[in-house]
Amino acid sequence: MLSFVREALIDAGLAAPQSRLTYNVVLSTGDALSMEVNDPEHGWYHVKASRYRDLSEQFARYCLARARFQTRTPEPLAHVRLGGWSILMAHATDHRSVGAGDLAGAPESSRLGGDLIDFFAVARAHAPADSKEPSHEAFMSEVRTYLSAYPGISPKVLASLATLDRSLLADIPHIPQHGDFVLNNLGRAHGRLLVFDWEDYDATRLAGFDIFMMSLSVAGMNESSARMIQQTEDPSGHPWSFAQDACVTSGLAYSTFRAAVPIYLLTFRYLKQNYGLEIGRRIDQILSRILP
Amino acid sequence: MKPYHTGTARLRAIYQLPTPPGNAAVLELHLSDAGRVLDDQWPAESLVSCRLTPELARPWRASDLKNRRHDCEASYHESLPFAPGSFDVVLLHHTLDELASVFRQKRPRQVVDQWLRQVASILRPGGLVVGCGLNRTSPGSWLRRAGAGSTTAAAEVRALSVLSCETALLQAGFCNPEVFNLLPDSTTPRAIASVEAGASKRSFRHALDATRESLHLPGYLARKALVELSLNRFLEDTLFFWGYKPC
Repeated sequence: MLSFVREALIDAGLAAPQSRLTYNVVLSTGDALSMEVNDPEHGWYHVKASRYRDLSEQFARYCLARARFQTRTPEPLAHVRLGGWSILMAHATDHRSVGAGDLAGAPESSRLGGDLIDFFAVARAHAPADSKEPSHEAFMSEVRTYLSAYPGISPKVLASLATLDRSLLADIPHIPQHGDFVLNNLGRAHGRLLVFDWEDYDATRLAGFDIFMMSLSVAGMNESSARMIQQTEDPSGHPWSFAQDACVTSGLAYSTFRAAVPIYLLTFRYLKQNYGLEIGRRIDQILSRILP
Repeated sequence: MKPYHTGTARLRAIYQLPTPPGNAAVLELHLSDAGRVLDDQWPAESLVSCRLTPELARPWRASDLKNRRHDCEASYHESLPFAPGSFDVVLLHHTLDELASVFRQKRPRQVVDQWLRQVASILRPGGLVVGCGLNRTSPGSWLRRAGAGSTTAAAEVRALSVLSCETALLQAGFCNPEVFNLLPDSTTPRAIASVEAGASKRSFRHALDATRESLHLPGYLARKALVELSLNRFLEDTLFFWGYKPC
């Protein structure tokens, strides 16, 4: 398999044919291999390869994200198919990971916090000005269709999908969301925020979804955190203190954001259909306790 | 179930990383009852799972190669019963450790050299040897040695080290050898990280960085020092390696 990665890098002009490449490979429990590949002359590349999934759509999303968010995201370089493998290549950026503590406190008090709010501002700037298509209702209908056919979903969750508050959906702006905006997908380089893993970019335009995911990620991916985010009127002093400013930046009332927590969780459950059973079960558990 | 959900599936995927594309004859050498890597799904034309034993119950017959899959036994006191250039890939999943444990009267390095040379002889030009083994310099190794020294139980023998693995492959005639830390272990692997100093540092730096909030400052600083000195590669428990027989 690595011979295809080598060939892909050489074909794309990213490595010389005589280069001795070095590999660090990670296997997630999903369906793709992720690796960092070093060419002594050109530096490190991030390469994702799958035999089970076509990554070309993912590459297109990465390119769109790069065009919109510029240096906030690593540069995607090429996508090729070789020997039954779909191979996506991007520049690997030297970075440090971001922890919950890095985002604590008022966003304006730190460079990283400021960058986070700026991220939401750029996202809003790329909201479709005159189109609300696909509508939130159409999106939630997709969610309903998927979850109705999924074995083991609790009747409570299905019932909540059938009785969604249309006026609440109407109050949520249409802004393309990152789709997996969690701490693991943030980094910092030279003190500036980096955002990785854009494979779900624009899969939903429910403004606030990314804010909710990051809030849950810093507070803890569990039922009590989701409930706290839903019930706390003023998040100052909480790990998700950035959420209020982020909502203002996104043109979303904070009360609407809090009310939409079950909708965000249902969206999370839908978008994570490619993840393992365990994460699905965990979200189902949170959902069944959060729903009225 | 996702393709890499189980540890076994991930292990096979890691073993297939360096495997050249195309039809191939693959051999797994093992001392246990059954091989742990090769299965019927392995993408190759013929699969041979050969148990190395002191006595033979199912000796190798070359005529059996007409079947896609063949299980056999060979004596580890004799040369491998395969004709030169019989295989494209040979898998050694902890096999060198197990052989070093059998031949305790010899130095582990001697055993490794002898068996890698035998493997080279049965590989076709351009063929691949790929395997894993326990790392002699890991703290787990020292602890187990100390534990075994206080009892009559036989200690496991660790045949490989970060420094000796590449040299052994080169001396056996293999080219382009690569050595990795297999993380976290060979039962449920999740990653391989090159033992080349810069690449290793990069890999462990990411891993430490991701857990820094859960560590106390002294613990974090101690780990940071190990990472920046590229020492983690010597401390991890399992090594993964491969090398190619020159064309």
